[in-house]
Amino acid sequence: MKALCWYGKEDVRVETVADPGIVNPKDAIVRVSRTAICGSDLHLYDGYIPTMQRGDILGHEFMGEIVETGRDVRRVSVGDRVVVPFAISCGRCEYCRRELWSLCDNTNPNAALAKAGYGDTGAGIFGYSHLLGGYAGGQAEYVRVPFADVGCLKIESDINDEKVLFLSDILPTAYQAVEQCQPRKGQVLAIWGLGPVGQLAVTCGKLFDFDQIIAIDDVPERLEMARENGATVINMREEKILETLDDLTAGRGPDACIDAVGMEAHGTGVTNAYDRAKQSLRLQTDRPTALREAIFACRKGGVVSAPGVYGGFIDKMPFGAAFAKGLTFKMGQTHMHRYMKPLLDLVTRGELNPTFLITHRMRLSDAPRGYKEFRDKQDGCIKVVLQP
Amino acid sequence: MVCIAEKVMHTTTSSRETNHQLGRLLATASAAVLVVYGLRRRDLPGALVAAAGVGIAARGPMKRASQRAKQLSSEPTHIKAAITVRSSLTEVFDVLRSPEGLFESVESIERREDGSTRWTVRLKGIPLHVDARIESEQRPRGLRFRLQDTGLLQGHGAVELRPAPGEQGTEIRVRIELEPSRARLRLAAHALRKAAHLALFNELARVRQLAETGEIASSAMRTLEDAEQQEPQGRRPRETREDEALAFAFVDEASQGPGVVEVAVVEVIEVEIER
Repeated sequence: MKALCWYGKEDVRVETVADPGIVNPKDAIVRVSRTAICGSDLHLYDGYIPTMQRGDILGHEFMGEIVETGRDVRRVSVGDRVVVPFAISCGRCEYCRRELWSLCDNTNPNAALAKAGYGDTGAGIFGYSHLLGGYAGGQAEYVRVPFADVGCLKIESDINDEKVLFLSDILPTAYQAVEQCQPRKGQVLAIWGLGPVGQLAVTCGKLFDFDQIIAIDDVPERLEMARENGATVINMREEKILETLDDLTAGRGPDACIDAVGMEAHGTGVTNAYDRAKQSLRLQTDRPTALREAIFACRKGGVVSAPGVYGGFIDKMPFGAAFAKGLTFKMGQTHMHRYMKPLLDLVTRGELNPTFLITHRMRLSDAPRGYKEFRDKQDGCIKVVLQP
Repeated sequence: MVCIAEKVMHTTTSSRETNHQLGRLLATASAAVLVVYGLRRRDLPGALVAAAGVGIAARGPMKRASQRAKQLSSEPTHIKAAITVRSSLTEVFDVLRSPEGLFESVESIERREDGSTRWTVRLKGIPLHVDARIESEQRPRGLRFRLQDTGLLQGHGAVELRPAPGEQGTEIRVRIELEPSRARLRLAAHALRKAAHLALFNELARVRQLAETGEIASSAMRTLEDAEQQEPQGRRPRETREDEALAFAFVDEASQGPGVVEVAVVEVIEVEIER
């Protein structure tokens, strides 16, 4: 089969690799019909995620048709059209039972590596480093899906693939990021980063009773997309974020702040240069500009929600400000299974349609170009969908 | 009287510490002077003077490292790991008592007529044979075992099972005490303690996976049989992780080069399982 393989920093190639097969009784093999490049895939592309190995197959946003099942698969069967969540969950451990699906105890075969790096292991993730399991990803023609009964969301209607593809990651991720803000009527929500998750956070924010949703970025077409979606926008190149937020909220600050940027934030000024220098020298792994601003801007007693991916160590965190204002932090990988079905219902009823994000459609063979255009924000690129 | 004696001893100890600190300060200062003076001369005698300064400065840390190494080489190595499994004591115990195919680093387990078992561990292609015997067993609370001595490596360990609080299942605690026979091996074992702890944790994670889900997580693309029929073109063999590399170094040290390392069971001792 054809698959997109990682070979190093800014080096991804479509290669011919062996087809996957059933390894464990609860596995299924999915023939991929649509897959997408996630913003977090760019951290792999830029070489910031450790424990990648040459030849690893990328991709954790995908859907398709089940073509083979293991002997213990009961809930889905050959021929079913399914969306597969990026996090692999067993459905049996303490964390799955508590609906903390992305913290699953049993799906990372490299548990010791995660124990050494993070103190404990979370769920395995498709195509996202050996620290998180070393599973082959979905930017391929076929994928092996462990615990298929637990993960696969069956699509019973004939709804278009593109409308449901983002249930595999970014739509539930955006929804969880907003839900974690503990929204109440009349509150103000500020979102840093208008990539796919940030844009969908604006969309999901509208499902709650926020008085105002403020979206922050520096890419004109992304700001325009958020404005059209109903957000008040701040162009960080033209306005001072903290002053503008202060002004928009009459000095209170946003009640909730979402960092939809993560470890490769683009800032300005001396702090940005300092972060870039430290990251390039590997003296810190992540550039937390957006997180710092969110902490500083957030209202006293407010919530900072971080769906953006962080991988390691960060520097110059204003923890004194967080402490002084009594902030609540909510973060982590999305507990996908909690949100997929309810969000599918909203999509099916037409109350949510995330396809507005898609700016580029390509064949899998063009994926290396897709990565470059997405990373460099060329040609107005916001979301790339691939068809094997 | 006792008070006076204690006071004198305390004063003597404090005086010794002060003298020791003063000595270290003087040595460091003289070393710094020699290094600066030597480097400023920019000639061969200067380089020798600077090297002498570095030597004086390094003397203290080298001495302390040597003392620590001597101490470690006379101590056994303790390796331990623990995990909580959402299954009953009996279920967990039964999984542990059928270890064939369970552990990642164990290639095979051969049960022998004398009741002992021979475990073959393959580290970077080198088979390591370890013979073990269960000394005492209290189902489902745990067991104690001994690794057999062939003059190279000996040790003993225990697996203890307890109910986890809040009906969270079962706590497994494993403790192994290794007593390599040679001083260099003891040092190597101490150096590898962290890696061994992580390897042990990984094996316990597999116990949890099997007990809770009925299968062991794998990122393999295909089964071994499938892989033999169809050679992958895009994937390369998994690279050696740091812990594996360290373990390999240990085996290399033990065997004085590639080959088979054998460790066999020796004696059986009666030990009560701690509750």
